[in-house]
This record gives sequence, C-alpha cells and structure tokens, in this order.
Amino acid sequence: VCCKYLSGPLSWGYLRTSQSLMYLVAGDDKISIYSYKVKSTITSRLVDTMIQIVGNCIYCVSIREKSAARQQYAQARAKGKAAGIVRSNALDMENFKAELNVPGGMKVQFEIYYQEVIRRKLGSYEYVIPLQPGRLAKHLEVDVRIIEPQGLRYVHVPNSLGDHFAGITTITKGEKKAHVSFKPTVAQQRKCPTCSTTSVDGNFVVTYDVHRETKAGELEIFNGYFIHYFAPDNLDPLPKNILFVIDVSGSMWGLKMKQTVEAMKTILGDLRSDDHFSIVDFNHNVRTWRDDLVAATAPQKEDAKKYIQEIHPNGGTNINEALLRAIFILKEASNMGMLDPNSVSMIILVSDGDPTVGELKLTKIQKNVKQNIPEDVSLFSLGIGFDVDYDFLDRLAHDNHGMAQRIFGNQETSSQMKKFYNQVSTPLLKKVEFNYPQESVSDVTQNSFDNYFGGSEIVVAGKVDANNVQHLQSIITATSSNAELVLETLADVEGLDDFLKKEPHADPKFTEKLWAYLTINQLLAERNLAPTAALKRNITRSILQMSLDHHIVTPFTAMLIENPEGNERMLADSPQDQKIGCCPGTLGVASNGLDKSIPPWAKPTPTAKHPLNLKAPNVSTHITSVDNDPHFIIHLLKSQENICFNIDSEPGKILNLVSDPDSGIVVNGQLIGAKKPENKKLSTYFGKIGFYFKNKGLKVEISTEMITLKDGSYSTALSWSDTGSIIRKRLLVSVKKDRSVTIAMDTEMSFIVLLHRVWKNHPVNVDFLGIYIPPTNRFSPSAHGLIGQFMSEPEVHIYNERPGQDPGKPEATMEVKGHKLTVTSGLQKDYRTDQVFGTNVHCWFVHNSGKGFIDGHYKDYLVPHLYSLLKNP
Amino acid sequence: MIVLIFFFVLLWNEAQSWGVKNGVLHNSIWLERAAGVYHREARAGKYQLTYAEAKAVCEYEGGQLATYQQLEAARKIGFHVCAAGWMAKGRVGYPIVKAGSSCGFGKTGIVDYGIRLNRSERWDVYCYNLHAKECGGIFTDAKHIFKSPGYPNEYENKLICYWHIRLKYGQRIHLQFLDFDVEDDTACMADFLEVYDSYDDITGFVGRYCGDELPDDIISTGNLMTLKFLSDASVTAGGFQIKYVAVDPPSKPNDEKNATSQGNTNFLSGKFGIM
Repeated sequence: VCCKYLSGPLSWGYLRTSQSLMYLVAGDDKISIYSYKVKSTITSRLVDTMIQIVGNCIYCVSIREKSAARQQYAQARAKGKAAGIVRSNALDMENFKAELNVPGGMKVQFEIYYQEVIRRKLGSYEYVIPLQPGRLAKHLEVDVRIIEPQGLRYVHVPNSLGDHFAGITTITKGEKKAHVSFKPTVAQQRKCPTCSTTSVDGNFVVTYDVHRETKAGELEIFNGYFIHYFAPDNLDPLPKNILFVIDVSGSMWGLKMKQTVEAMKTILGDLRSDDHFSIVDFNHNVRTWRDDLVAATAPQKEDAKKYIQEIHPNGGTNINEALLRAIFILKEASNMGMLDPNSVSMIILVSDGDPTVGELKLTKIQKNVKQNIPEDVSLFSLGIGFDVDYDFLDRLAHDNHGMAQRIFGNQETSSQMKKFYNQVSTPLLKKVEFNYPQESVSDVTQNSFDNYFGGSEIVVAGKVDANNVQHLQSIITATSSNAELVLETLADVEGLDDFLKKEPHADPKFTEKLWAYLTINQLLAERNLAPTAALKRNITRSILQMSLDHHIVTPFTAMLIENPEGNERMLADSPQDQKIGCCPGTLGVASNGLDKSIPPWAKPTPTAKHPLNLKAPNVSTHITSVDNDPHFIIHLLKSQENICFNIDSEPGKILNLVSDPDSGIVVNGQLIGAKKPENKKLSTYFGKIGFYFKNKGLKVEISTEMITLKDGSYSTALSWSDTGSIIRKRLLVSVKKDRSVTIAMDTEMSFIVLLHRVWKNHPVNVDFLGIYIPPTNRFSPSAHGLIGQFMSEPEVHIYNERPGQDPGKPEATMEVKGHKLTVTSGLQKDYRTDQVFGTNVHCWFVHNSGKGFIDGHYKDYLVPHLYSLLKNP
Repeated sequence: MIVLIFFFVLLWNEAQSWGVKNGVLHNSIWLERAAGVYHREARAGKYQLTYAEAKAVCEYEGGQLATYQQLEAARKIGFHVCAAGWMAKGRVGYPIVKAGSSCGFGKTGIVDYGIRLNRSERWDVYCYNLHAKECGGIFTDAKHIFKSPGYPNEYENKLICYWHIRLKYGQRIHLQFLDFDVEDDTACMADFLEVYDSYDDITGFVGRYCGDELPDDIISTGNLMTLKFLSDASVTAGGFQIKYVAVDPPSKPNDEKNATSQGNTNFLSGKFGIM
C-alpha cells in the first residue's frame, strides 16, 4: 500500500484555499475494498471537489441539483451498477468516503481534489490535513505549496503528529512562495522499532501569515472579480463596555462553575484600563456585582474576581430577567453619558441550560431581548456542556450582532472560554464599511460590519467591470479608538495578471469561486430569516443556481460521480446538518502583544493634515491616494524651487488666487467641503472657480457640473460631458471631456482647470477642481492674490537642510520676505498628466497655511464674490 | 416544637437507571426543572417565604404549589435541590438524587419535613407549572406520546424544542412517528426534526426530517435519545405526533446483533447513519 498526500502541485495557497491529491495504490494485497476519508471542516467548506479513481477508468464528477442526483444514483443502484457512496454526514466535518471493488493485484489510484477557504484566526492561516493512513505506507508524502502574492511573513509547521516526527518536515520559504514537505520513511512511521503499526495518526498542520503593508487591506482583482482582504493591526483597541452575565444555577455546580471561575479570573485580569464592566450573576434571582458599569481599575478587577470566586451555584435559571438587567445597566450608563462614544458595548452570556424560572418561552425571551437591546450592543453567548439548548443561545446571539459558541463541559472548559473571549476582547474598529464605485462594481458581498476584532480578517468580494475600468478604488470608513478613519486603496485591474499567469498552480477562477462561496453563505443565512415563503423560494433558487454555476456542494446540491460509460455511479451528498458559519470575517482570535504605538496614519498628528506628510506612493499598483484640499504648489522660476502650502478654511468661503488690477484679471475659487470629516477634520476643495477678464467684460464660471461663459447679458454653457470649445472676444474656453478646461487669452495667458471626479455615492469625497497657472503668464507687477503675488518672484534662500522628525522628510530653513521659516521636504502631486495617480513634484512645505511665505494671513485673501477683486492688497 | 422527620428512601440503583455514554455519566445531569416542577426562593435569599408567600410566588407565575407526588416524579428524572421548600398542603421537603454528605443526610429520595403546623415558618418553595414552556421535556416513562407545540394545530415560527428520552439502562427506545408534517424543504434547511442516538445533539446523529412523509421507526442503540425541533422565520405546517416505547433487553444478547433493518424499522447499531 502506498499513500501520497499531495497538497502541492495543485494547491492554491494563493486563494487561501487548498487542494489535496491523494493516491492510494493497492498493491498485492488480497483485500479488495479500500475506503478513504477526507475530512474538512464545514466552516472552511470545500468549493469544488473532484475524485479520480484510476484503475480501468476515470470517474467524472458533476454537481447536480440534489433530487436529480439522487434519482440518477437510485437508477444506477437499481441496475446494480452503483459503485459506492461518497457521503458526508458528520456535524462539523465534511467526510468523503469512497468504496469500490478492486480486483486483487490491480493498481488503483484514488485522487481527490478539493478546495477549501482558509480563514484567518489567531492571527494566522491554518491549513489542516488529516493524516490517518491506518497502516504503514511504503511511500507517504505530504507536499504543501503556498503561494501568496502579498508575501509570506512566516510559515510554521507545529509538531502536531507528535515529537516522534520532529525534524522530518522540511520547509522552504521564499518571499511569496513556500514549500513544505513531510516524507517519513517506513521506519519513521513505525510506532516502535519492531511494531507493524503506524504512529501517523492525526492532523498535519501548516500555519502561516502574510505581510500586510497597506492599512486599507489588499484589494486583489483577477478575472473580473475582486477580493478585498482587510486585517489591519497596529491599532489601539477601542474601549469596551462589557457585561458578563453568568449562570450560577444549580446545574452549573461542580466542574462547570470551577472552570468558569478560572476563566473569568483571567478574563477580568485582561480587561484594559479604559474598559468598563460589571457582572450579573443569576439563578432564579438576578444579582449584580455592581449596579453600574465601573472602570476596570486594578482594585475593581480584584474585587470582581473575589465576587466570582465566592459564588455557590444553586437554584433555577432566569435567563430572561438576567439579560434584561444587563441591558438596563448598559442603557443607564449610556443615558448618563458615561460611555465613550467610540466604545463598543457587549454582553457576554455564559449559561449551561435553558431557562427554568421566569419567562420560559424561548421565543418570548428572544423577543424581549431584541426589543430592549440598543442597536449597537452585541450579545455573545457561551453554552457550556452537551445538554444545553444551544440553538436558543445561538439564535439569541445572531439576533443581536453577536455569535455563540458551545463549550464542552469538561477539563477544557476554561481554556475554551478564554479562547472565545479572546476573539472578541480586542475590538479595533467599529462601523466598518467598504465602499466601491457603483459604476464599475456589482454583486458585492456583505460590506458593512459592526466590529472588527484584532487577529481576524474581513473578506469582501464582488464583480468588477474589468473591461471598462483600469483601476478600482475602495474606501473603507470606520471608527477607531481616536479617529474616524477613511482608508483608501487603489488597485490596478490587471495588477495581478502577470504574477498569476506565470504561476502554474494558481487557479484562474479563484476570485470568482471565493466570491461565490461568500455569496452562498450569506444567502443561506438570509434564507433562515426570510419572512415569507416566496422570498425563501427565491433565495433557494439563487443558491441552487450559484451552486451549479460554480460547482459548489451546498445543502441543495449533490455530487454525482460517474465513469465515462455511465455504468458506475457514486453520490456525494452534503452534510445533513449544516451549521452555517456566521459573520464572515468579523471574528478571529486576537493577536497577543498588540503594538501600543499609534501608527501615524491612524492618529491625527498635528502635521497629518498636510499633504506633504503623506507617504510617497508605492511604486506598486497599490497607492494611497491623497486628498486634495486646497494646497498650493508655487514654482519659483529663478531659484528653481517648488514651495508648497496648504489653506484650511471653511466650505462656502471664496479665496482670491489672482487679482491683477492693471491687466484686469481676477481668479477666485470657492470652497466646498467633503461629505464628512476625516480624522476629525473636514477637508475642503475648490468646487467653483471664477475668472473675470475685466477689460473684455467676460466672466467664466467653472463648477464641477458645468462651464459657463458670460458676456454682459449673453451667457453660454458647456458641459463636462462633451469635448468642445468656444471663442469669444479672443478668449478661448476649451473643454476636454470629463478632464479639463483650458482658458487662453491672446496666447499671453492661460489657465488649466482640472476636474477630479469621484464615484457616485462616495462616502467622503466630492467632485472638485484643481487649477494650474503656468508661471509664464504675464501678469502686471501689481498682481496679487494667493498665487498672483508670486508672479514677481520673492528672494528665497533655503539652507541648513537637516533630518526632520520623520526620517523620510528632512527639514530646512527658508528665508523669504524677511521671515525665517522651517520648511519640510516632501512630495506633492501634479495631476495634469495622470489624473488618477498624479505625478510627484518635490517641494518645500510651509506650515501654518503658508504663514510667512504669503503676504499677511490667508484670511486676508477671502473675498465676498466669485468675481471680486482683492481689496487693499 | 417537635419536628417530625420522615425518610422516604427510595432505593436507587444507578446502574439500572442511568446511562453511560461516551464516557459521560448521564446521572451527572441535575435538572433545575423537571416534569413541571421547579424551585424558587425569595428575592431576599434562602428561607424567606411563609406558606402564604410561597403560594403567591407560584400563582404569580401561573402555576401552583407542587404536590409531594409531583416533586417525587421530578426527582425521579434528576431534579435535585439542596434547599427545603413548601409544597402543597403545607408540607416541606426537598428532592435528593445523589447522596452527598452536605445534603440529605447521605440518602437519596425526598427529604420530608412533614406537614408544618406553623405556616409562618420561612422556607423556599416548589412550584408546579407544566405549561410554561412551549415545548420539549425529559421523558423517563416506559412509553409516551409527545407532540409538536400546538398540535393538532400548526406549530409556530422560530421554535426551538428539545426532547430527551432516558430509560432504564439496558432498555432501548423504539420511536414511532404517528403523524408528521413539517415544512418541506431541500435538505430540510427550513423547519426540521432531528433525532440523535444520545443524550445530546452532538453525537449519534441519526437523521434530519421534514416534509409530510412519515419517517420510518427508529430503535436506539442505548437507553438515551434526543429529539430536536427547530422552525425558521416563515412557513409552518401541521406538526407531528411521536410515540416511543421501551424495548426491554433481549434474553439472548446476540439476538439483535448486526440487525440492520426489519420491515421499516431502523435499528441503530453503533455509529451508523441512516441514508
């Protein structure tokens, strides 16, 4: 007998899915029936399965509607031609088992291909291969290949099969690929030197994690689908308001209570100082440790531990009243303004049974809780023991933005409880929303999440109109511990093509399959809550269609396995009991040792609002785009330097850019605000720019909607949606569709106004304008305005270049107009050639709205109307 | 005051009455509520209720004081409380399932303090209210018929019901479906009844049932069985009526070994699932 487990040449570590190939070759053994089982957990359910039994024939696998598949199998069985049954019926495992007759002496090759989604948990991806050959194998090999374009942070193979096998596994780790090989010899497999039994019995486990450079996650696009992996760390945890609701009824007596107390002591000890908490313990009566939420100071935590320790379980279970009390305490705290607006509120219910006292009707309790609990409170429940009405605790949690876990009442209870708690103890973000441009993206999976917990990963997928867009932008909005975050990612639609085309092991359909997998899981959850029969039917239809289209084994499909002649058939049904995983990606286990330092991007540092402090865009396809609230780049012809400054004002205000009374030219810009503040600061942009050519009596108004030219009572408008131009009194206004307007006067003067469009329903940004004025424009010496004043170039002397606070941004001293200013070196964007990415321009940044560099204060440049001249320059 | 203490000691042969399965001794389950009986103490704590108050507590919750017989019936299926409480007719006592040094004088049975002459004495209370729960329960009788909630009317949406059957050790459970109508659905994803050949809903999964076809009879491998009925948020149906009878162990232990199918009855032999 020879077994070979190959999870390699066919693997897609990339998709964080995997595939196994198994050979089972029957040699001279007399035994003629072989069975082999493949196990995979349902939560990481397989996407696609393929079994090949190579003897005389290869079997083909197809996914059929369940009853159709069953019927065909039944027909084959009736004719005595059914080869065997491949079934999966375990509760949380997917078992495939094939049985077939193998004539003695014949070689049979049994291959199973399957794909499963690997979820990030405990801060890593874990791939498990059950390895139970049941006997010594001449050739036993596990071969795992991992491909991750993001780059592998580490690959680890724990000694899960026992110390016996220490040192046998070889790991070859490259930057983006890794290869793990486990190949024990027959001697190494033996339980003892003289044994004929194998000690290979257990799981072969590979864990790894990937690099996460960009905080906005990885946006991977391939073949018309995108997958957005989001797992930021390096964030400060949000403070939490947590109420532990602990069942201390008689049935908790003994080991269960002992283990609960032990777990609670650790959990209480782990509370952070900005957390607030209390404990509600209940049997038929409801008691509280404190009637209000209290800060998790060391003395309070100690007192709470003592309180827990002194509980002697007895009596009945009044879940209804205990939960209502917990909700009341949270509501009171909230009404009294005790809670940090950025904090996360949660209730953790620990119980071992169904209610026995008070309200007993489970549906009524569910209703009571749902009616009373505030929208932003999550309820997590832990069911201890085998004999709990777990489904009740599960529904209760899912109803209220939480999840449930069953804890088996044994020696492990305490560690299981702690592990579950760790998954929710580190909320890093709340109200996480993923936005994509509606024009180019469709069929997006769940894109709004109540919380993001440290150590886990959120995955969002959708379809991209790859033919019509070159880039896909995503914007994630979320609340972190100290700011409203807006994270942007821009990915090239073809960015992955090169890498993947060179990679023979990557499945070209991985993005599509992962999308289908997420969508089906969501539909299954929706179906359970469907309020009408018609809706339920529709959802069923969608699930079935998707399962068939994407070859996914779901509760509605079965896998039919046939040989080419169609005279031998096998059937694989999905498990009868489908426990659907909830809340894709919202949970995981917190990574320990969180970095307490606040990354610069998460914290509104005093300089963060200055565009220069933004990181230079990566050379890769992913860049962090900059916001373009009015910042100015002044190019000084003589000294060949660029000087930048930024103006932070309010929406509606009009800034004078050029005011030249001699040549009669005025250029003003009116500010508009972003839809919402980012890092507690509302960005402003130019929403309207007015040109007044006094000598010609012409006014040009450019807004993000249209371009209007006025000549006295005459008025003509151009639209951004067409390329076109008008000439009036030798003034040329030329529109390049959706890009720019050029205004040129007698070849002496020209202005370019760029349009920056954001996608419809963008959560933050608005369409805005940028203006470019060539330094060659001939203004009169009396020209003024924020830009106009530099037409007669001031003497600028920059010296004493030195390292700044940020190592990448040196500082220098600039002498100008009699002031000595500290300026920071940085990059600024010029969007004239590349409207999406912009090109980088080096400049020296003047802080405090250009103070010292511009004449006077920026407020001196505010004017009342779009065509006003600047008074008293 | 003379306190009469009666000891009703029922011989309790554990091996005969409780099952051991997968290393879990099922007599370790102490029920907080059984056969409609439950224990209550005053909000102020232990032993604070006079007879009149005790009666009011039960009636407030829609029930009444438990009788001695009701308490004993509950105790027989695992109702164990270490606190004396009022019963009907001014009696005081408490049910002990497992003998322990701290409670019940090392004996099992109902520890009976008798009918109290002074009704102002303060104790806890035992109430009886069979209909407070929507559904589910624990059965230990040799045979019983149980129904979906509301039967013969349609059951409701969003229900969760657990029935546990626990017979004498060595006995097996013969489950027979008398009437069955549960929302039909592919893979029974909507409403369903699940049968487990164990005391919990984790091990020994037998099958998930829905539709209006009468499922085949099922005979357990041991003395324990669990049935679980869940309905989702929409569409209900007629419900079901299920009967079980205890099957006594055969005189010759080999008689039924390897039996897989007899008529339309599924014998569960070991870890074997029904197709």
